[in-house]
Amino acid sequence: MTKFSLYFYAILVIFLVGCSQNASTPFSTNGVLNGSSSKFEGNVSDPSSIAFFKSNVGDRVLFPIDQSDVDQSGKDILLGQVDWLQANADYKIIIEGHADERGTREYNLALGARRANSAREFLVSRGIESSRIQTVSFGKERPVELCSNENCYSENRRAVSVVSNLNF
Amino acid sequence: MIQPIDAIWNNRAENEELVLKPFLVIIFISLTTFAQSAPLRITITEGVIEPLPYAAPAFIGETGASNEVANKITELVKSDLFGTGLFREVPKSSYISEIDTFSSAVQYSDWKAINVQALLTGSVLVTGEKLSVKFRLFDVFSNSELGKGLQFNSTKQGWRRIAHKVADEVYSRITGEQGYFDSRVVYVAETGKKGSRKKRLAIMDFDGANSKYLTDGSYIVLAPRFSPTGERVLYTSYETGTPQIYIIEVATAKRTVLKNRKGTMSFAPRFSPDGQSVVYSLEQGGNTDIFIMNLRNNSSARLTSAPSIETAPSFSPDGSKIVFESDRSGTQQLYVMSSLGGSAKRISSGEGRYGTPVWSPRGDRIAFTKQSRGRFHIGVMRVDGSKERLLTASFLDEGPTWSPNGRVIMFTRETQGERGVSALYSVDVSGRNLKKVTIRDGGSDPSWSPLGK
Amino acid sequence: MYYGHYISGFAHLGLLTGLFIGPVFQKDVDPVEYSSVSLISEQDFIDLTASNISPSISEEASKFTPMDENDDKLNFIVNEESKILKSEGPEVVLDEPLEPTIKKPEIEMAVTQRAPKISEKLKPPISEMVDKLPDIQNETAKFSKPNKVLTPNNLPQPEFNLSKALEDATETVDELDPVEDTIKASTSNIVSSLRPKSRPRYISEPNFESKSESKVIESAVSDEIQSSVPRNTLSNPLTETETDNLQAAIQACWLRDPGSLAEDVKLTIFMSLDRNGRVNPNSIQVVEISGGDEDAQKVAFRRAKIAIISCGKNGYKLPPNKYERWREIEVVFDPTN
Repeated sequence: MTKFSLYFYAILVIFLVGCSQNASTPFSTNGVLNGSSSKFEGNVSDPSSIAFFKSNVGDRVLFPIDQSDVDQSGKDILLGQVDWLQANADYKIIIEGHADERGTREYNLALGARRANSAREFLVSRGIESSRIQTVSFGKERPVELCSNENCYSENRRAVSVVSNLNF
Repeated sequence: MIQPIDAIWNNRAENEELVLKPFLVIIFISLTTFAQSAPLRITITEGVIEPLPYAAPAFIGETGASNEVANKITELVKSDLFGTGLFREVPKSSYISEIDTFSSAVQYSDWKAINVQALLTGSVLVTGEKLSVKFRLFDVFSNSELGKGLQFNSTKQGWRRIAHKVADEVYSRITGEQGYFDSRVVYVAETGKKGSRKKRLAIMDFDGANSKYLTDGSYIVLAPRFSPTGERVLYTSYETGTPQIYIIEVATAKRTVLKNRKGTMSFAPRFSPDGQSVVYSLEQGGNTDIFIMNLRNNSSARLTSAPSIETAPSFSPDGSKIVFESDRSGTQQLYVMSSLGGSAKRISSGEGRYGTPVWSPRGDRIAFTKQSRGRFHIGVMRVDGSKERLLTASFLDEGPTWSPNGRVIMFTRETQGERGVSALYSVDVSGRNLKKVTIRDGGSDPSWSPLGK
Repeated sequence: MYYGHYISGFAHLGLLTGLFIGPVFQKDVDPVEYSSVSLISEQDFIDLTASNISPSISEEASKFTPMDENDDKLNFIVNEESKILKSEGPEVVLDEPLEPTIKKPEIEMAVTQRAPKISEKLKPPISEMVDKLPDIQNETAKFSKPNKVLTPNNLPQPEFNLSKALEDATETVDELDPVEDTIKASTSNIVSSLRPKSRPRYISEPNFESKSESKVIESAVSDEIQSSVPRNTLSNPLTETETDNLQAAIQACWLRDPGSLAEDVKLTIFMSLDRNGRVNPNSIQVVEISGGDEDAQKVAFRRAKIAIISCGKNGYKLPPNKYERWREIEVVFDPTN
C-alpha cells in the first residue's frame, strides 16, 4: 500500500470513527465503553491504533479490595500509556473506574471514581496534560467478569483507559 | 399523749385522751379498708406473637353490576392486611351469622364465638364510571364500632386505591399507626444480562400493580428517590455520559438535570423534608463529599470536607439532621451531622461496614446495609446507634427504603453468579414477614412514596 | 376508689410518728411479775434460745402443729402481735411484718403465759366494737363472724421468728402487765380482727430464710383455713401455682407485635370477676398507663382488654374458696424488657 493510501485510509477511518460516535460526548451512556468505544479500533499492528493500545500497551490497571492506590504493575502499564499518549497527541483519554459487586451502590461509585482518579494523577504526574484526561466511574454497574468469586472480582476492580480522538 | 386503746374502752371514765379514740378508730378502720380494697396484682410480661384474627365478609354490591367490583375490593383489602403479617382472616366457612346488608346489626356474640376480634363490612356502588365504597369496622370484644364508618368516592379505575384506603383505615384503627397501602414505589427495572443490564426507572403501586416505565433504558439510571409529596423523583443518570442528578415529574415523565460543574460526578441525591433542597454527593478529583443544593435558586453549599468518601446522605424527618456514610475511619461507617454541616458523630459500632443509611419516617430509627463476614444484611438501629438489629442476611442485600409508616422496609436482594438477578423484597421492622415483591422484570433501588392523598 | 389507701397511708404515717414520738409519752410500766407457765419444756426453751434465728426454724415449726382456728396459741399469737402494734414500742413496724421485728418475742412470751385468758376475752370486745362503730360494721360486712377472723393466716411469721422471739423474751416480758394484758388483748382482738386482713398479702412474699418451710406452713395453714371456710376473709392468699396459672392463661391471649409502637406502653388493668372466674367486662378499666403516644396507648389497652376477656371467656380457673382474694385483680401488662 502506498503511503498516500495509508494516510487516506487512516483519515477515512478517523472520520468513520468520528461519525460512529455521539458527536456531543465521547462518553458512553450505557457504560459499554469498556475500552470498546468504537468498531473502528484499527489494526492491532498499527502502533497508533486503539487496538494496539489495548492489546500491547494495556488499557487497564487492577486494584486490591477497597484499594485505589496504583501498585507497581499498574504503574508500569500506566507508563506505557503515557508513552502512547505522548506519541499520539491528538488522542484524549477517558479513565473509567470500576468496583466489584461486593459493596453498596453509591460507595462503589465513589470508589470507582477514586480509582479512576488515581490512574489519572499518575498520568498527569508523568507529563500528560490534565485537559486530555477525563474520568468517570461506573461503580459496580459494568463488571467484565460475571462470576461471584475473587478471580472475577479482581478483574472487575479496575481503572480502564479509553482513548478517543474526539473533542470533549 | 397516746394511751392504749383498751384503756380507753375499759376505762371510759378517763377523759384524758378521749379525743384520740376516734383517731385510733379511724386508723383501724382505714387499715381494714386498705386491706379490703387492695386487689390481687399479677404481672404479664410475655404474650404471643400472632396475627390478629378478623373477618371481612364480602363487600355488598348495591347493584348487580357492583358485585364484581365489590368482590375485587374485598379481596384486595384482605390481601393488603394479610401482607402485613399482622392479620389473619377467619374464613367465611367459620361464620355463624352472616352480613346480609350493610346496615344490619352485628351479633357480636356470634363473632366472639369464632374468636374474631375485628369485623369489617362494606358496600360498593358503581354507577357508570363512578364508584362509591362504604365501610364499617367493629371492635367485637367491645361490642361497638371502632371509629366511624366512612365512604370513599372515585372513578371505577380507581378501585384499587379505594381498596388500599379502606385497608389503611382498618390497619390504623386496629394498630394505632398510620397504614401504608395507598402508596407507590419507584425503582429501577432491570432486564438483560449481568454486566450489561438495561436499567429503566419504573413506578408501581406498593404491591406491584400498575407499573410503568419513566425512562427508556438507553442510559443507566440508579437509585431513584421520591419527593416528600410523591410527585417528583430524584435519580442518578448517565444520560450525559457521567453520573448526574435529575429530577423527573412522575405524572408527565418530564425530567431536568441539576446542573453541576464539568468534570464532576454527582449522585446519591435525596430531598429535604420540605422538598426545597437536595442533599447529594459530589465527586471531584477523585474525592466525594456531601453537598446541598437549594432548588429555588440553584445555589449549593458544601456540608462535608474530608479526603475520605462521604456519600448516601439522608435527612431526619424534621430536617434538622443528616445521616450519611463515610470511610474516614478506614471502613464505611454511619455518621450523623446537623443538616447545616459541621462536625459529625459516628453512630455505627458493630463489626463490619455500614452503608446506605435511611432515616425512618417515624424519626426513631435508621435503616442501613451492613456487610460483615462476607454477608450482607439489612438492619435498623436507633438514631444514636444503639439497639442495632439485623433483619435479613444474604449474598447481597442493600438499599433499604421505609414504608410511609416506618413499619416495613423494602430493599434490593441480588443473587450471585453469572445468572444473578436483582429483586425487590420487603420485611417488617421486627424482622418478620420477609417476602418478595412481585414485579415483571428484575428490580433494584426501591424508594417508597408517602401515603396518597 | 382509693380513699382507703389514702386513709391508711395517713394512718400509717400517724402510727409511725407515734412510733418515734411515742416513747417520750409512755407511762412507766410497773415491772411485770409472772410465774413461769410454759408450754414448752425447760430444755426446749434453752435449745431455742441457744440457737441462732435461722437454723431452728424447721424445728420450731414442728413444735407448733398445724392450726385450726380454735387453737388458743395461734389466736393468742395474733392478738399479741396486734397488741404490740398498738403499743407504740419501737419495734412496731407495720409495713414490714416479714422482718423478725422485736415484737415477736413478746408474742412468744404471751403464748407461753397468757393463752387461756386471752382467748376467753376474745369475742365480746369485738362485738362491742362492731356495735359501737357502724362504719366498721359496714366495712366489715364481708366479715360476718369476727371471731372467725382470728385465723392463723399470719402465723408463719411469728413462728419463724420464734427463736429470736425467745431470745428477747426476757427483756420484753415486762411490757405485758398481767391485768392490762387481758384488757389489751381483748381490745386488741378488735385490732386483730381488722388488721390482719392486710397481712396475707405479705405472706406470699418469700422473705423467709427457708422458703420451703414457709410453704409447708402456708399450705398447712391454708388447708386448715379451707377446712374452716371463712369465705368472708382475705386471709387465703393464692398460692404461687394459682397465680402462675392465671398469668399463663392471660398470656396466651395477649397479642404482641414487636414492630408496633404499642410495645412501648406499660399499663395496669383492673378487673373484677364473678365466682366462676368470669370477668365482668364493664369492670375493666385502666389503673395506670405509661409510654407511647395516645394512639399506641389505645391499642395497648385494647390488646390488654382482649387478652383478659378472650382467655377468660369460660372463666379463669381460680380456687372458689379463695374468691375474696381474687374477685378483684389488677393485671400489669409490661412489654418493655
